[in-house]
Amino acid sequence: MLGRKAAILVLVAMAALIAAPTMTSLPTGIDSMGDSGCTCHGDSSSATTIVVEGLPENFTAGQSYDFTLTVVNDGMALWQDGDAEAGWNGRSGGFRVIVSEGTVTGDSTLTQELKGGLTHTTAGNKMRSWNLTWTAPGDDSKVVEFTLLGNAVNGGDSSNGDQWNSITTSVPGASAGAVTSSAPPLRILMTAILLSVTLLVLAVMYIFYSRNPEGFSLATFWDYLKGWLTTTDHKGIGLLYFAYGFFFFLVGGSLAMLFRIQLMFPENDFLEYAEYNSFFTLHGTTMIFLAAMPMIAGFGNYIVPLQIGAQDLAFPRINALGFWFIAFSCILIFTGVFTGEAADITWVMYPPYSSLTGDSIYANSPGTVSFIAGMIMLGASSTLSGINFIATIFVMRAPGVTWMKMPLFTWSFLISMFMLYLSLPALIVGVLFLYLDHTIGTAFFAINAGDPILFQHLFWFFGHPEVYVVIVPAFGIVSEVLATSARRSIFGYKSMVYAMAGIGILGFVVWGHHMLTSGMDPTLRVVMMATTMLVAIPTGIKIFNWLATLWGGALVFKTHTLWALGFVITFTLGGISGMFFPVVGLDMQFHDTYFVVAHFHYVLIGGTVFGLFAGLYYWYPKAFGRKLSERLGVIHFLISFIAYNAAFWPMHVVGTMGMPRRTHTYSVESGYASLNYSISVASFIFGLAQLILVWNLVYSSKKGEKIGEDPWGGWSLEWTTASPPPTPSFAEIPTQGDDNEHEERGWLTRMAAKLWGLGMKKEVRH
Amino acid sequence: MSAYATHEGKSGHEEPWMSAIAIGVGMILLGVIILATSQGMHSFIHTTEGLDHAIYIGGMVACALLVIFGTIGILVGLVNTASGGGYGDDDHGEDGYDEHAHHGSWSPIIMAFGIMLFLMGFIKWNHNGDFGILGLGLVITFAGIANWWREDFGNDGKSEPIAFGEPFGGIEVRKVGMWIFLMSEVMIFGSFFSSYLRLRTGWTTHWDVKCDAFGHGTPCPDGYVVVASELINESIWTLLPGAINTFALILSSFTLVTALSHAKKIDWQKPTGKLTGWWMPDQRRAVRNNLVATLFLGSLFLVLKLIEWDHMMNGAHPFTIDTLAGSVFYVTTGAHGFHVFVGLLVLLFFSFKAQRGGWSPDNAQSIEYFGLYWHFVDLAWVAIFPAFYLY
Repeated sequence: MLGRKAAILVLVAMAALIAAPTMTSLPTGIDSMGDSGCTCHGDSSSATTIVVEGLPENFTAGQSYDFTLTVVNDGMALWQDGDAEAGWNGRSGGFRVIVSEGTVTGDSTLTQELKGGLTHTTAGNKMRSWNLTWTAPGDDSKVVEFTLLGNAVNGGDSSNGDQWNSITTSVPGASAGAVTSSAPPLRILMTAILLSVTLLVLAVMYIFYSRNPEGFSLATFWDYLKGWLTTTDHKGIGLLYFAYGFFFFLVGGSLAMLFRIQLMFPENDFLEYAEYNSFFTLHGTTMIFLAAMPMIAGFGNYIVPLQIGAQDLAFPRINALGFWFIAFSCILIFTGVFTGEAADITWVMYPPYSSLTGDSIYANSPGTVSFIAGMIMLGASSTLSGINFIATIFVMRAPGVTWMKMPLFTWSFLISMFMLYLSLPALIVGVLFLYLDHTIGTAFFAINAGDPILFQHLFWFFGHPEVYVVIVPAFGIVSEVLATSARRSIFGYKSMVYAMAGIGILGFVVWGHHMLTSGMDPTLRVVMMATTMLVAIPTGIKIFNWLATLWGGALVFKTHTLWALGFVITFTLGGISGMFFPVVGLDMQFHDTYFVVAHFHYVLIGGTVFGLFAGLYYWYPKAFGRKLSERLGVIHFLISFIAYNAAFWPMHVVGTMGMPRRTHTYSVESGYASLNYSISVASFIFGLAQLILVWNLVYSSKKGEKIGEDPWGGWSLEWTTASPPPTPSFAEIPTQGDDNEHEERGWLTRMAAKLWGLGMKKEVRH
Repeated sequence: MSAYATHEGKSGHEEPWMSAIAIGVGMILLGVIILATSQGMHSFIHTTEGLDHAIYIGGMVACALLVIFGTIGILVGLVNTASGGGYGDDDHGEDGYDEHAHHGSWSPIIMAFGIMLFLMGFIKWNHNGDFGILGLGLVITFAGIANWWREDFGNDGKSEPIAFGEPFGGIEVRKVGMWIFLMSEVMIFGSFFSSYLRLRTGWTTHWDVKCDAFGHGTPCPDGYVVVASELINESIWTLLPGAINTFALILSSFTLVTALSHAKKIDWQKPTGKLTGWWMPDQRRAVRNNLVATLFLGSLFLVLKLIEWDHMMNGAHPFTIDTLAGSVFYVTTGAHGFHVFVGLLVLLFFSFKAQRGGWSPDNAQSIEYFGLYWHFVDLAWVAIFPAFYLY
């Protein structure tokens, strides 16, 4: 039975693969301004016909063909009947030609190249027939698509009354097969979405089927699916968040693999520069907003209410709304990929490049604008989550979970949510300005009238807290994991809380260090340098606390322990390389080199991702009632840890050698080749190693070792409920008993109490 | 509670939702009548410049608002009729409203999908005037909102979650949530203001030059930009709306609080004054009339706002959106207007609920929490008005 199901799934996947190539062939589909027709001249009109003469039946490679494009419209009267004295401006026609292969040229006084196609000049406006030349491509196994637009112009003072039309035709090469026509982009988009949704539903249906093959029917399946689509339970939403984030972690990783192939060799042509730009833009945005943030939100949703002993979040429906915002935003962000014009504005979206509109040949495509719209939705989603979590942690802590007895993961999550929801408005406003520049024609970041630096301020006022938003929860996870693994309470609980809060506050006053080379007041540069360096102090406190926890404990080496230890090593290295950037003089040199890439991958993978993996191995048993396989886990850790360091450590070196980031290739003479080759090989190994984790997640959900409430000996409230927890998570609100030894008074207080007999009563503990 | 006893029939679930549809249709008809009247007057009064335009734009905006309200009213009626008039998919009807019941809700996924289509369609619409996706997105979003309302019509306030532990012990959870939300709103308007300050103080522009843009005094140097506050006393149609609007918003805060205090009263008595007695004949209508008055004042704000924008854009000295000064002015005041509009949607829901006698002292705190938002929107205007119009 299983074999037949699997065979069906494989067949569907193969059908998807066969369908995939047609999604890239979009000669007619590019929806730039101007390519969707002469929209400035109103709607298309069937009164105009377009005649093309001279194109061959089949073309030979490299051959040039002369052809004539003629616009015929006998019914239309010219303005003032073509009387120049009365106001006719002498114009009678216009055209535009777009070819998928080869080049079209014409008389340079009458025609001009514009945005990837040929069109008329003002002089070329005065006729209705043009002689053009098409040079066929070098490969005659292709089918070349022609999109020809013709406009019958009446020559009035406005474009009213003009009648345009378009035709498409295709010319196959001598050795090409039968002519196939290409579909419009919207249809392709819908096909792709439907295909992936179908695959997803089939996969979910299979999981549901395999649970209970006898009781399976479509009605029970719909009830099951409806439960997931409408759930407001924090555990359900937490799992959805995590699954979504993990899926996009793999998508973002695949994008990275693709451009590592490109960078493997000098002067490689595996990717075009435009493709490269789109890929690293989508890689960055996917990893930060669609992978790291949802995975963190997943942990927060699942674990935080359990840790504070709450039955659910304060506002369950708002929580669901936040998830669905983020779920649909990916469609906006990736739409450009399907229509052939993906965003290429990097995850920082700096204007003026990202705000170019109008007739410029660099003007952004609709794919870019929809990417920007997707960012607005992401912002809305995270704001809703922030409000919800802050309210929950403030008002729903069970008896005994006082501020200074709250588990560190909850503390870290509270701090990170505070930073997120206070900084996000700046991003939302900045991105809204950008969106309005593109849509209703505001001039915030326009080249001649606007203020592009304003966007950098708004973005980084959000952007720097954002990187702490993704790292601080990892601090919390690692604190929990190390303390449990060392079989003792965390060393210096209070200093941990204050250090995280300190990072939270400092995070708001350091954004300028991203803009040291943007043209900033020298005094402000020094201020930002000092505040940024201050961040090292609370971070250092945390690292020493973790080390001291290990020192006084008896360490048990589980997989989550290994990941947490790996975190401490790589995060410390990443933190040290981070201290180079606030130094203004060094930053002038390092800015936009691979040194930056090395640094933030050390803190984002070595920090956030390692921390999340530690949390995954640690809390997976709580959610599924079974442990992840320790054997697969150790293999996963060892390969990942070695390959990860082998991939990113050499980037420090190519960075100091001067290799610029965000550049699609490098020369043979540059000397970056051998290091880049080894980086690519190591990154492939790192990427493939993640498949072990995918297999482990699937395998262990069925075959993993069954566990009770508390497999690791954790002390906080989530370990007091069943695994997986019931709904609502606690039958009755629990009381936290363990005071985790951080309530002990310091020597000064003890001495004062003795001396003056203040008789401070010991707090009543349950 | 006795005052509600006479309206049991109104507050029960038995009453069909046809009244919502009827009110919706009525609102759309009223909108069309206002539009027709204003267009008719527009073609007569073309002698008085200004008034002519004000009636023209005002009629269109009023009509648009009424059509939106009416459409939502019809959607609410249809959604409720389709679902048999119950509240929620399941146990809302019997057990009352419970924020913590794990019953699931379709509203989040529907609203998120609608907003995605809206954002996509807005690009398409600006690009080539294709309204399809934009309209579809709006309808789906409003359907999600209507469903959300349906789930909340049954909130009788019996199971209002209360915070425990410090620092908010004993306070309603939703109130805490609203305050936290308002903090993020402060940051939103803070971002608008800091952008404005950066541009206005001349860090990047020539705005800080003191001169007379209209040529009566010191002439302005090249590159100088006209700003909104210089246009404010250009004509009565740019001066008056701001003045009236400020009072309309502050007055609307008063009517909202009046509605709250009447809904909260356990032993309600009819006011003795002749006018107040006519305005508030019984508790249900006391709440409803004050809510509707708030809705009216908020709508008036938007109508006047657009009249003013129209005069700024098309006046003797056009102040357009394609300049930096225009961008920051229209987007900031527009964002405030959007907040007013969102408030109006909530007020519309509250008014429908009041019409059905849905408010009681047990659940009237919902009006209070919305009031926090509404007062915040007033307060934001009190900051925006001097900064953008007077300075």
